Amino acid sequence: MGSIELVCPAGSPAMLEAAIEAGADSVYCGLRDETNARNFPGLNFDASELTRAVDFAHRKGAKVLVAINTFARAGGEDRWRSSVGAAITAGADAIIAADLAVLAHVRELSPTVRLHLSVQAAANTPEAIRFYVETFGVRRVVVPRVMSAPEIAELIKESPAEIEAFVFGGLCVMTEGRCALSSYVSGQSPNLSGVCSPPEAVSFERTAEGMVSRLAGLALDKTPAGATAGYPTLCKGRFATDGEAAYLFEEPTSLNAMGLLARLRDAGVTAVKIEGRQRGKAYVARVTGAFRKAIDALDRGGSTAPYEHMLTDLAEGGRETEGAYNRRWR
Amino acid sequence: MRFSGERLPARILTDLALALRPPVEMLLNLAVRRAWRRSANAFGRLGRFQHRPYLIDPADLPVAFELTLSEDGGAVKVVRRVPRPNGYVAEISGGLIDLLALFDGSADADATFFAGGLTIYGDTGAVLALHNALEAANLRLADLLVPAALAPGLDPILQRIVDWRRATRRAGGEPHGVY
Amino acid sequence: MTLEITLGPLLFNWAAEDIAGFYERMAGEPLVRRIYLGEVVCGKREPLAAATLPEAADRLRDAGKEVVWSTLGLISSPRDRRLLQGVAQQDGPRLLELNDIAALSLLPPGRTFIAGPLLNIYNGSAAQILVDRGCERLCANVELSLAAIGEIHRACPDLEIELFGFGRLPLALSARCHHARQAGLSKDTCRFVCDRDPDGQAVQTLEGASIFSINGIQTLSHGVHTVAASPDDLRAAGVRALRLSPHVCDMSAVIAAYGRYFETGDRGRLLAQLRACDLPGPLVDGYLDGAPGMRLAAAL
Repeated sequence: MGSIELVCPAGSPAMLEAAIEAGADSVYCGLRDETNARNFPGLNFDASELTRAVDFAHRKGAKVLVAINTFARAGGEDRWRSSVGAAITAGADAIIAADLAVLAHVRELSPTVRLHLSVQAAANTPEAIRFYVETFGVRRVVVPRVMSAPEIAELIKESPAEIEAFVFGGLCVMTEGRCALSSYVSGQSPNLSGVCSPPEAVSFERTAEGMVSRLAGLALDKTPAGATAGYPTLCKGRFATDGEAAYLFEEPTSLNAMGLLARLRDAGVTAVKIEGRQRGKAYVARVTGAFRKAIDALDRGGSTAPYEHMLTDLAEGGRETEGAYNRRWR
Repeated sequence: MRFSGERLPARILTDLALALRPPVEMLLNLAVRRAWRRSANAFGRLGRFQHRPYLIDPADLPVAFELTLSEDGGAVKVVRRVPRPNGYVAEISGGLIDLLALFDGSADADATFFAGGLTIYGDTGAVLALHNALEAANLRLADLLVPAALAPGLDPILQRIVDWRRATRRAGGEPHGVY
Repeated sequence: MTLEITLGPLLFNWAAEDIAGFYERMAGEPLVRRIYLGEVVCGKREPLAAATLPEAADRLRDAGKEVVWSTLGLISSPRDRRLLQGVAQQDGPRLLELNDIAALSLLPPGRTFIAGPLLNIYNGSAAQILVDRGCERLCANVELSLAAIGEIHRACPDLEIELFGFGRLPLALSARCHHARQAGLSKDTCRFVCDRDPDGQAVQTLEGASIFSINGIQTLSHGVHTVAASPDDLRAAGVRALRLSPHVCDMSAVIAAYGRYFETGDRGRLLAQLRACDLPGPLVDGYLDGAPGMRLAAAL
């Protein structure tokens, strides 16, 4: 492992293997139900796949972090408990959680297993982090994608836990774990059901003006035929205020902070994370490979510049941004 | 690769293809069984979409395919391009190459899913599930619909066409002015 | 036991004189026992009402109201942190509503508090952890169904539950300011343009369907959420109080409509009276049934 731990997504065992072969230090994945925040059909691991995946990763010297990062449904907490049990039994190197109930349950079952605080908990202050460290022994915090690089550097000075930051992939415009746009329209949301823009509520309509994407019948955007588009979510839709249509919340762009790796490392970031468990093994192999090369180059005293534009075609709408890391975004 | 559908009335081509259905379906079903054996429980990933028929409709072929998968196996039928009485869980139509690219596992899912000349009717979740299930099992649509027995050596050619198509997309497929 | 009516914190950027006038009127509302004050959306706005709110608090207390200070929903700057520190560590009997978990590590041990709707408490086990730390009342997250709230009540029977009962739903917070972005400004130089829209600015789809409203860094629903479940069902789910969120419309009429509803249980009349209040959007109530939040409320 280099100076920064590279944490990569795995939506399936095939994707987990692809990520590790491409140079991931750690992979994160979830069980195949509403206990993780990528509860898409056909994705994720059952308990036996998880056990085999951990064995595979450990043989290759990589770690497996299991995301149980949704909020347990009132009255249905047993499902979250059984996911925690499955992760511990499989030998997970850490559990990523956001719900107070899940964090507490992990600690009941195992006083020693590493706990990472999911980005869904949106802990962005030393005070919030201190609460999770003191109450549950959280060792690492994944910080929300709303923080700038200087803010992360300041946070690290006072943080009693390791910091992990997203560097590539989809970009939530809203603070993670604090967004109910999807459930307002479709009845399902990341916090309630582990899914944003549930695919069964998504439809596409071909019209003379191009393709209209819809959620629960409401138009999210119209794009010319043949244009690339991302997965349709409300925060990346085009809306009108005062009769003027625009990407009100955010353009359909995605995060690429490779150019900031050196700054993040120097600020004391322990690990960097790639988003995209739903995007498949071709995606993870390419992104992991590029970031592996970039981190290795940094560790040799070199530059990340040669690798920074290798991934543009994977971005939503073909556009990349350094997100909030770069203050201009604000 | 292209069927010259313009030369003959489409119906005659369809009738011709359907006349050849039994041996073609036999080969297709062999391919599905082989894929199923190769990757235990991959089709189980379809979850609630198991046993539900998908229509795969290559616009440049005279017929379409009805694909039904479950953790116990699966079946492919060659069908006319007409609405099915009980409906399909999802209908995916487009050029054969686009369809193969959607499911070929060597491209980013989001990028292929939402780019290009594909039309999806029905439950988008079902299409996502099919994509994710095949992807997880290292299977491609070609493994199900293009039996190697039928055309050994076809595989690398197909792959090259898919790659070429993607490369041209990437070069010319930048977002339009709306961004 | 009668259901209590409370007035939630003002979510919008109103002029100081409008804020003062509003709470002056509310001081005279006999049906409202408890009033939440404080800036919960944007730390930048806090100084704007810094002089007005303490005066309003005194006036409300003099009128016999219980005043609760609500904290910011998203702590995002050193100033926000200092503000939170100040509020949390203040001595005295001041009641506090926490909307960010950061506040929990600042509260002196033994200090009781109210958990606000912007905290992610979705189940009884999570609620119990807060109860163990001094939480006396939980204003349920707006996504929760009444059935889920009932489950939380069964797990924590002594925890008072308050329900976001009326108003545009607070759906999301962001690091960026939607009002500023739309005006071609950045968050840091926003010129407080959110003051143009005292109920939030309506957002339509490309096909003209009204869907959300924006309020600085916050996104709210376009529809006006209204709790019109039967008072018995509310009580059975452990609900003690209904929170009305301030809007420009005649809040006295809204309070009166709910007061009558708690006595009569006449849902049709409640909805008719609310619809006559010049609301910023249609009445919606889907979340309570576990349905999409934007489902229109229907009189049964």
